[in-house]
Amino acid sequence: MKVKWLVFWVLLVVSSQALALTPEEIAWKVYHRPQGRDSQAESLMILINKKGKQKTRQLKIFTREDEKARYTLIRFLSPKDIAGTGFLSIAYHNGKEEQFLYLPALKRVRRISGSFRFHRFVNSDFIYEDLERHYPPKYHHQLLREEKIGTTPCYVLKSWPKKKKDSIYGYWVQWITKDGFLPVRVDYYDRKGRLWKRFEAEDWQKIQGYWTILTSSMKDLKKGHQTVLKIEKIIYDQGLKAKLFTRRSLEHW
Amino acid sequence: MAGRFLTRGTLDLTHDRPFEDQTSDRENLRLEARLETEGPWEAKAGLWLDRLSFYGNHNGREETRLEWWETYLRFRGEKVEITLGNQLIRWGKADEITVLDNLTWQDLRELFTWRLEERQKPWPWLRVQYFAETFTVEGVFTLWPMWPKRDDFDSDWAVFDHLKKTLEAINFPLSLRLDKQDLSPSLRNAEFGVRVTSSFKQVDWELSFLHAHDRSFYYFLRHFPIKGLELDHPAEPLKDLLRSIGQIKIVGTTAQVRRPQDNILGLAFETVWRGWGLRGEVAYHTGRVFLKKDLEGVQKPYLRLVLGADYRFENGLYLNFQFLTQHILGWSEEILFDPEYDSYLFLRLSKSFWQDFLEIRLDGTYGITTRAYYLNPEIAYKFRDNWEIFGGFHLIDGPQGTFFDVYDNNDQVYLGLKVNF
Repeated sequence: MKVKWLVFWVLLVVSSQALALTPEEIAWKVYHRPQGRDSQAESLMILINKKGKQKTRQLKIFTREDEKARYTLIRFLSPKDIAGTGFLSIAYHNGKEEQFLYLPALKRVRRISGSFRFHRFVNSDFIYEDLERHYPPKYHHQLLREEKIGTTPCYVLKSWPKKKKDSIYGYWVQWITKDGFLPVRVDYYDRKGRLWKRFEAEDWQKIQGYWTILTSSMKDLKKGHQTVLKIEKIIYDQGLKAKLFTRRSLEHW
Repeated sequence: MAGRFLTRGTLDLTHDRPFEDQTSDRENLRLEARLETEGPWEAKAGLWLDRLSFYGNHNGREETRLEWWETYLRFRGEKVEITLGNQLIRWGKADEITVLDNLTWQDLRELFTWRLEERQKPWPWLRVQYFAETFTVEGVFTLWPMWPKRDDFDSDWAVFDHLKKTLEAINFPLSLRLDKQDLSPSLRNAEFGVRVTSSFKQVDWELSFLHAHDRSFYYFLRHFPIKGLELDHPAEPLKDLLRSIGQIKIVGTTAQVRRPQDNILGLAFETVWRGWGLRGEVAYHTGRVFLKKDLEGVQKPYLRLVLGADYRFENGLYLNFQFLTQHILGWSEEILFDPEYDSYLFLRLSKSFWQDFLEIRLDGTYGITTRAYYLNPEIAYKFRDNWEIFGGFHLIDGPQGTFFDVYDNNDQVYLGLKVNF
């Protein structure tokens, strides 16, 4: 009997070790987490300064995924001085990325170079890099621990770039839900190891079967301002056409 | 419905010539409405009200214009798009200095002191685009001949203002007038072009051909009424006038302005490399207009190349520079201002603060061949959404005989406001 119990426990420990995810696997799970074949969201971006004064931007976000890439098109609707500004990102499954920007004042789509990734996205606390999916092979990953955020069990994963050019951050620590692999909190550290920004999801729900962050904030902990991103309405899998994610469509304003 | 109000006031830094303007102001109101249907049709209507005035000398003046802004009807099919009406069409891939962006009407009444996107105005075109899987073909056609808008007299930026004022100052017995050929819209005066665009391995490229009227800053003058005048110091025509006083013959009072046609063959590309954005354009003109020293016009084949790069550093500093080189084929000594080979460097630096609501920027153009320069440092502050206040300097200088030298006395400080609604 004792031997049976011993074998049972050994098997349990070995199998749990075998089933435990490696840091890289967690990163891939985040990268490949189901986000629908396509989605269309109406969102608000609220910029809040140190004194609590708010400025609101209204935007639409469209996404689509096919066998080649994941496509994201963001169009600003207000305020008037940035209305019509459009951003198209094509993240190929091999880690390459193309980004295009349309500014109504210029009447022209511009291909954006990699150096723009580290720049602020329309006055917000998000930079272009924050809007990308981080392609796991470009980064080192380390599983720090497992802990709960509220009542939600999470993996705590630390990631840092293999090459400096791939991120403006020194490293970042993500709290990733075990159910759905959703990063619900991310602490970003600068290259000197100082805590710089914090992304926090405040409300996330399963919509049409996909885990979705509905309200989140990005706080600049050094400067004291923050940006809140709210999804007011989102629809998945309505069959958005590929032609929506082209430069022709980006220019259409 | 949307709109924009833009105003800018300028003040000359020095008042070194009695006939120069000291201040100017500009107010510009734009209203636009858009109609989109569930189907393939969409329409846009826009109006543009513009007032420009110059003060400070007895010839100060004011001009108010009301014109159509973008006003068109568009059909958006699956593969074909047809747009008819007043529209802003931009060709080429380069930024501020472009040699292929020739489908908009440019307002040069204050020369290049406004950025390109502010100088460009819409024009009536029929535009047909065919979107294939891997490339796009585009054709444009207009019956209305187009050329840039310049002032002839009565402004410090006007083409012949310095010459006319100098002649008047010495009581020269000639009151110079211009007889402009007003071309009517017709098939004979039509402009048309075709462009193919595509991408290959993250390199976007385009090939274009445009049959148009000359877009250069200079007038194509026939029969300039002062014969025997050789202008070597265009900023100080009095010197040349006195030097050649013995040979000068006045044969009339009117200079005839003609609008010759030009063909522009172009190639452009845009790509990214190691964090840099790279852009370039080549244009070959079959007959670009240049001014001769006797102030009559001449057409020459012209080759122009512009290469540019931009980069945003991690600290937020933005750098954009362009190199422009141009070659007049069949150049001769009689050509005023433009050397046979002429090269320019353009630089744009900017840095943002306070979550990008405050921006400090510097635009600079330097003539490598002519050693002339134009500097435009500017500060802009968006003090609330849709409201931006901006101010800066326009500083221009160049050695004697250069184009920039003519505007040497036009250094100015300015303050402006932009409101979107």
